[in-house]
Amino acid sequence: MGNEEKILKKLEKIFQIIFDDYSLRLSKNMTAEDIEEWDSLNQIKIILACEKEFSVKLNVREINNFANIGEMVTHLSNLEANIE
Amino acid sequence: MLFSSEIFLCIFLPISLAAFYIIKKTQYKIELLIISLLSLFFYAWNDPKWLLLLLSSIILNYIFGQVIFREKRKFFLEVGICLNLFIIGWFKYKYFFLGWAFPEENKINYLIPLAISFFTFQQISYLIDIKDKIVKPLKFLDHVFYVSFFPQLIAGPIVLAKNIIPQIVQIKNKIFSLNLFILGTVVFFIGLFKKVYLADNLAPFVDLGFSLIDNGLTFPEAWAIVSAFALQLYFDFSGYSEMAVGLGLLFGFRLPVNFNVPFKSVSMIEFWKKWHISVTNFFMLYVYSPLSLYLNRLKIGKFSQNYLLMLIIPTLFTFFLSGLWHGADWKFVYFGLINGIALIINHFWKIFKLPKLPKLFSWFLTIIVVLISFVFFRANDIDEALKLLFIMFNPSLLFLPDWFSNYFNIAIGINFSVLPFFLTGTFSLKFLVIFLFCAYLSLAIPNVADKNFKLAFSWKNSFYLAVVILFSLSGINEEVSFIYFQF
Repeated sequence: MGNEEKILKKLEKIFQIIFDDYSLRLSKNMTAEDIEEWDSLNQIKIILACEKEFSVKLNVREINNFANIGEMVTHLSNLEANIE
Repeated sequence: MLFSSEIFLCIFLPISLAAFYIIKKTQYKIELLIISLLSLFFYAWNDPKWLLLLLSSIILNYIFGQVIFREKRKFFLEVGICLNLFIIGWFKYKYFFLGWAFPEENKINYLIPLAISFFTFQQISYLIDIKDKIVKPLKFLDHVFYVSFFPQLIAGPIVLAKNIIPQIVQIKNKIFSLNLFILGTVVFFIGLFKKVYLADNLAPFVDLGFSLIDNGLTFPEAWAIVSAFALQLYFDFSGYSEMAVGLGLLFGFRLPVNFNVPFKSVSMIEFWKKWHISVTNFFMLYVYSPLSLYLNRLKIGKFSQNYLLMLIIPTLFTFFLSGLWHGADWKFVYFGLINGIALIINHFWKIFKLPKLPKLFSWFLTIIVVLISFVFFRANDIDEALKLLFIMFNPSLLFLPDWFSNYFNIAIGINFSVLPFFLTGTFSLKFLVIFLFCAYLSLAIPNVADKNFKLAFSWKNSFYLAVVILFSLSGINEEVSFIYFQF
């Protein structure tokens, strides 16, 4: 499993917990509009959970600028690579 | 200059479009210059004295944009934001704060520079986005165009730099698209129809109702005029926003959507995703989220459960500011805080997994909260708002209408005329028809400004469009301003 796939799996777990939906499956081309319960509070929860999980610091405006989950995965992958 | 005036529709717009499309694409700098100059002329039309302020703000933010990009220190961003806040504070909030400190002095009537809230916040977002490396600083002419482009200058939508910069760059390669031009025309006329035919027809009833708060306004009248005001505000501002989007399309620009059929919302969370979207996005991106993240990174308590830091404080602070953004008056703070508190309750309802309410009931609750907050928005001051709320929540003032009592007298033989329902006469059959028509259209007219909206060519739609154009043109040039111009 490639690094981006691992990140996607971890993200999926975070999303499942935050949205309280264990049937939720993430794909790289999904957007915020595909998740009905996505709101400003859940976005904060996602950012804080990602910061804890991946030991990175995220910028909400950068996250908001991503076209889809795939771009977020790539961003997290790049941040992880920089740390290493 | 108003979008709904003859001078704009018959002279300014055709000249601007001609200048934009006749100049060859190789000379796009001349094109930007001409449109920018026309936009500044548009801004200065009614009150030229603020033009200097707009130009100063543009030059100041252009310089700070360049400096923030070159120097990596956060200091320059902080100075840039503080200077912008000082300018808006001085011109818009000076007397508000003075009045707060010295209540006796708060009697001065002063004019607020047109569009200051919009161009200031737009440029604050620009500076922050440069610091975040989301955008690169614009060249001077591009910056003037970005801020002054007339469809969005006066009352938004607030255009974030990241959304418009790629479009400015593409002007060089512009190709005239007939489909986009037709879509722009349709969107513009639907906006014009909302403003001049719907909002302006509701305005006299609302004005009359609010003038009678101290003169026997009854319980049903109070609800009727507040509901009418909600519709007036929606059609006024969404109409303006759609005119702006339509004009943007005529020039090949896609401006952001500001409203998405908000009165269909069945929760406060949904309402604020659909009402004044560009300003909500601004406050979400540049105030609520950074503050919420900052407080939670301080690691006070367990972050996953600390809703005081994650939700309550940032939401109340954001809505306090967004209320003040609307105007230098405590009534707007009340408007903001009512919505903020309702939003927090809505979030907690979800967090604690309380049972889902029936959709119709959720819709009803949402609308009631919105109407209560709009009372503060429209009333002249807090006292007037509280008086109106007292009437709205005092059903003992419920009576039957005069016009209805005549019918009952004849049909049923009971003398209802002793029970004056709409005592002051603000309510009439004409009002009821206009109100129901507007209420229906507020739910039925789709979000035509959305990028996914497609024009379906049919006889039925052509007929609707012809009616919309006919009615909207019949109402142009009325001396009625847009509600959001005051912000």
